[in-house]
Amino acid sequence: MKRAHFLQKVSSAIGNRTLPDQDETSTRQNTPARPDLQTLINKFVEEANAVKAETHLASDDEVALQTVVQLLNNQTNNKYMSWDDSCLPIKNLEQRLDSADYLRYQSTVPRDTTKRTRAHIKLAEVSVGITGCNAALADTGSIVLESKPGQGRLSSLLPAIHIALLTTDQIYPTMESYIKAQPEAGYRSSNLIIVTGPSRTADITQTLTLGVHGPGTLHIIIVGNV
Amino acid sequence: MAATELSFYDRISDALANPDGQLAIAAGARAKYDNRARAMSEFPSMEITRDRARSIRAQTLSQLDKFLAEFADNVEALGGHIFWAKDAQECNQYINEIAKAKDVQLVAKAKSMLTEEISLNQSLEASGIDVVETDLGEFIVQLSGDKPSHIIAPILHMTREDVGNVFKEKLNVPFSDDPATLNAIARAHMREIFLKADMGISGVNFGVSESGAICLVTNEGNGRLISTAPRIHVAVMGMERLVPTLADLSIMLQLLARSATGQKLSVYSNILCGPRRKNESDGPEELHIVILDNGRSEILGSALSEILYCIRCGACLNACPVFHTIGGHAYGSVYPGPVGSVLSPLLFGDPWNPLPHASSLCGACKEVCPVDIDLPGLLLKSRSQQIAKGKSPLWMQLSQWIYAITSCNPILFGLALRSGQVVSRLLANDGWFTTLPGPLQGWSIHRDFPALAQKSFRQLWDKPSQD
Repeated sequence: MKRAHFLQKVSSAIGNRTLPDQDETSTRQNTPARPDLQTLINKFVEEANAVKAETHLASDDEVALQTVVQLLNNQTNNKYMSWDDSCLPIKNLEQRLDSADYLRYQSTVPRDTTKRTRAHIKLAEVSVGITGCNAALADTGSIVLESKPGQGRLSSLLPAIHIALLTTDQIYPTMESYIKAQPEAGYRSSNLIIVTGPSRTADITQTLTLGVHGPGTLHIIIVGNV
Repeated sequence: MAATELSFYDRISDALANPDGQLAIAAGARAKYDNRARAMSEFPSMEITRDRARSIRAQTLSQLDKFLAEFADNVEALGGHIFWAKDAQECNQYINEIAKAKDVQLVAKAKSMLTEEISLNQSLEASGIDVVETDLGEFIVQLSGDKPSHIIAPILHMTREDVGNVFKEKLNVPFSDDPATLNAIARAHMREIFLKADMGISGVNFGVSESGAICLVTNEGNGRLISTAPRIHVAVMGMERLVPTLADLSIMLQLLARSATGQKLSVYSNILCGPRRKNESDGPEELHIVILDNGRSEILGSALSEILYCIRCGACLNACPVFHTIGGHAYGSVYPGPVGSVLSPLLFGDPWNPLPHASSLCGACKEVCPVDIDLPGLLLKSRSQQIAKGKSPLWMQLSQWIYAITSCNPILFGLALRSGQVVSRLLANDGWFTTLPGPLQGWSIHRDFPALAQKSFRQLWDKPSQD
């Protein structure tokens, strides 16, 4: 159908409808004061744990690196995929993991159809994905990731375990405050993804089960002086 | 949607004859109802947020043409394709054409009631394309050749044994009724499909006009996978699904999650702005968004337009005592429950006319609706429209006609009253009828019907008693 025809039909429908409340503009908005950093971190940790994400506090880069290595040590295979080092909040992760004998899989997916599928199937061998974060929301325990060059989507999606590195200055009290501070987040990347806990379902008799299609384990390492 | 073979009343009888399914549905719906109530009670500004959400929906729909044009311009500026589909046939044909042109063999689908509404799977399958539902519940529905019974929880009607049997039979795995084991089987089975699929198809929870973004909400992550791994992503959006801004979206996302499952936010709120960009490492090469009317512009212009505020959270289903009793299948529509009772006759036509009558108008649905849709009011309007158009059953038209004549004429009214009193004196037992005659019998199975008082109010008024 032509765009003009489609929109014409909509316009004429609006012309003779009576929609309740259409002029009502709610001006009641609550803007709570921004809590101090410690309160914010505590709230984030509490809410993230409530949705079954595992949180780790790391006072500096070194502690964060050790935590990553420790989490990788628990794995049966040594393969991981990640955002580029330059997009992570801690330095030299790749080099460090390389020297500890962990193998970083190249996660750029070719645009060609056949090669694309082949790349996917290879990436499916990876058990851990490591990413940074672009923000976090304290009142829901969510992390916010943007897809960009160097920040692929698959690292937080394909492996069974997702390790996210978050810095304390990235935590916002609510989604509203985040959007207010960074309104361009809504379109500057091709995929803005708000992750609240590990993948879950309750489809089968309302029984909570983790790890359906996305990662069943989500580790959030909070880096920074607390 | 094609009319089902059985009448609404036959489908209800079938549902009532299946106590296992009935129990599963009632328990599941009540659990969801309780989860929602808890989540809302912890939401400090619930009423304010609900008012805000309602006015966002009202404003969007009152200028829908403007917002649709803005949305489409932004999608195209991001490199996405827009297709305007007036009905199911145009939509399905367009998607079939893309599939053919791009040599698509395998489609991975995220849960979408809209694509159920237009029978997209059947249309693609008829062209020889494999379509796999990837939401766990929808996958089980597809394997067993069943239909979803709830817009959020497709297999609400199934017990865990039912699911175990479906997997054993269709996937050749040992029987298990453990949800975690069943989940692991589904994950392994589905992995390959995500990685090999040529096309991902989803619905759209919300489109954002100011940016041209679409938002897909899932807990499982299948919405992310089908919009990332396959080279083509097709999203089918009902034309009413827009919100003006990202800030509006954030309000809707919080209400949707709390109302649907009692979560503060769903696990993945996935906001997509166009296809994969230059130098990005993954994402779809092409994004097609089909904006579908399929009867919605007529609803927008009708007295029932408020039903288009709906954000498909399913809370009204979980709150509805009728839904608890008869389950989703009895409605014979992809949209069951109170919202479905209003929508189905509008979208699918006269065979669904009995649905709005299956309500006691208790108002539980309005109370839980995150955008405060006056569902009981819409059900009543729907009924009166049917009557005004002469579409109610003959016996109802006839009895309403008789009632209208009788109650407009004092002599006839008095006569009717007298005969009612005589019948009451002869047949009632202590002021109650324990069984009613003929077609009314069903009503009195579980309750008594009050007899007429031997003296009417007017008789008492005319001759006040002496004592």
